[in-house]
Amino acid sequence: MNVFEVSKTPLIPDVLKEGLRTESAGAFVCFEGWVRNHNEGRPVGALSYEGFEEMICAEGERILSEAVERFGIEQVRGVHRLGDLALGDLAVWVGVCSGHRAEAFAAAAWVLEELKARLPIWKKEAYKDHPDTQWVGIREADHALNTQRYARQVKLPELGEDGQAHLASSTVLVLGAGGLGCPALQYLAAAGVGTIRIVDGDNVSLDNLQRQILYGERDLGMKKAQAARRRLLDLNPSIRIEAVPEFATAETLPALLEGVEVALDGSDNFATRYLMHDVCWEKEIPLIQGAVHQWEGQLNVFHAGNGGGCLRCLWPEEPQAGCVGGCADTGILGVTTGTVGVRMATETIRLLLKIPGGVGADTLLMDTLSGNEQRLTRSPRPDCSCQREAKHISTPDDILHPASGNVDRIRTALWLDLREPEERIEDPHFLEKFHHAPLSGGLPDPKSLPGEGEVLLVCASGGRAQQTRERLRQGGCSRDLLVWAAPISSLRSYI
Amino acid sequence: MKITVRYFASLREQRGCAEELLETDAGTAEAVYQVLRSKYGFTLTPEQVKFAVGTAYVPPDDALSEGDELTILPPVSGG
Repeated sequence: MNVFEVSKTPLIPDVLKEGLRTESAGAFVCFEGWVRNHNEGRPVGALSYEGFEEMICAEGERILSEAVERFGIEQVRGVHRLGDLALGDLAVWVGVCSGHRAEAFAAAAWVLEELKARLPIWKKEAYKDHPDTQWVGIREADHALNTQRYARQVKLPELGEDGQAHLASSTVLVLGAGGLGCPALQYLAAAGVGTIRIVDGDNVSLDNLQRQILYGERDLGMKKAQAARRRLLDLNPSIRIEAVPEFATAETLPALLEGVEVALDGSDNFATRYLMHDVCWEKEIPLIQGAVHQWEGQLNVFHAGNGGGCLRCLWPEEPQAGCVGGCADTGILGVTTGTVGVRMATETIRLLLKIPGGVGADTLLMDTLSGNEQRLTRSPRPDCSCQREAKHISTPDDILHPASGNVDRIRTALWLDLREPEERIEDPHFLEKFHHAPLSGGLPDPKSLPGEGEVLLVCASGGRAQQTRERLRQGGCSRDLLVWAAPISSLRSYI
Repeated sequence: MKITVRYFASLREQRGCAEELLETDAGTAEAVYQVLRSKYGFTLTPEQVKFAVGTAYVPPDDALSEGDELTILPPVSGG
């Protein structure tokens, strides 16, 4: 039984834990959430939780059942306190037991995020520096304040109060909260776009910070979608930010695009870009796609309405992963992703407000090294499937990524990490899932690896994996080789 | 149609009660909130709140029925 409870008296972890023990469980992971003495820079003295008790139990049990289904764990249990709590008190407890530790860790983290987002519980803080109390996370949309907030931009004749109201009622989706997504998100949130959905399953790492300007050192290791949400709500608490800390897949993307007026793609691999493009085209949602390579950037707006045709009119088939280098291989400066990201936000606002002009059917090329900017006019390719209204969402079946399905194949393959030792910065728990053969030591020898099944080649983002496979094939390698054409971190969900 | 409306946190404070019976023609959760908002001056916009009927979340445009228990939920902050 996966029970979620509410308690008005102090929680006793040892008692809660005993209820979970089974003979087949080899791992137990638990999380304790304590009342801390500060929040968002203010000294907290005490707090109280108010909640809708029947629904907490019902929604909590739905979350726990989903966790069992999703991670294949044995049992999970959770309790949340209500009422008045003092500093240091235990506010929430979640315990997971399972056959092995990997799924127990993953499930515990997932359950916590879901509980925070879904349980009907409200926290009121009392502060040491002020007699007021405040509901946490409830920021009122104050009309007077918003009039002041947008005072400068509503003066623009193309925008005005009507345009501002239209922005407030708009929904956009940003795929990829990285170098392109961060500046785009920042300006869209600041301008008052009412609902912004951020889809990114990656975590913040130190080498992101020189260009992914929504994040700071305190966000390291955190999900980008969630860290971005926190920063953007600080920038503009009157809008709604929906953080989806998962990689988009062919299964999830159509639902994520429901109600979206304009979509932005700042993702970092071809598989996701083609998937996003095909789904947006089918749903007739204008797609603003940005891309960068070293000092150069480009931007396209794919929408039947502008007459420029679709992505497949330009490039009919998805290029192989690794045929051009990713940021980790070829280098990138923050101003380049910033330039392109800001132009993506500009086009978004223009499309939402139906302001004429803009990039339209052109490809906009920006070279931040020379300072040149150039526009090339696109036109539909008569034999392109978009002109026949055909649909295709496919990639070669040995190039795998989060959108490709094939969960069992990914899980059963032997994972071979080709990166150099200094790139392997993830936790040992994750790294132990991989065999390791750094390319600086020469081409790997798949025959020397255990078993006879498929080998999944993995590097930082898929480029070296693809090249390595080609070289091994040319060398007559007999073992079946797969390529992971996505960031290595996205394999976490297959552990 | 008669429904029960439940409030929590800042909405409960602004309304001055936790629960009330409501006779309404508004057919959806969001429409009910719009009516209540203009009557009681709730500061949260319809986009900022969520709705539940019974003990499960419902979309804002979900049709309401006689006797439903509608809960209006401000942004939550458990954990």
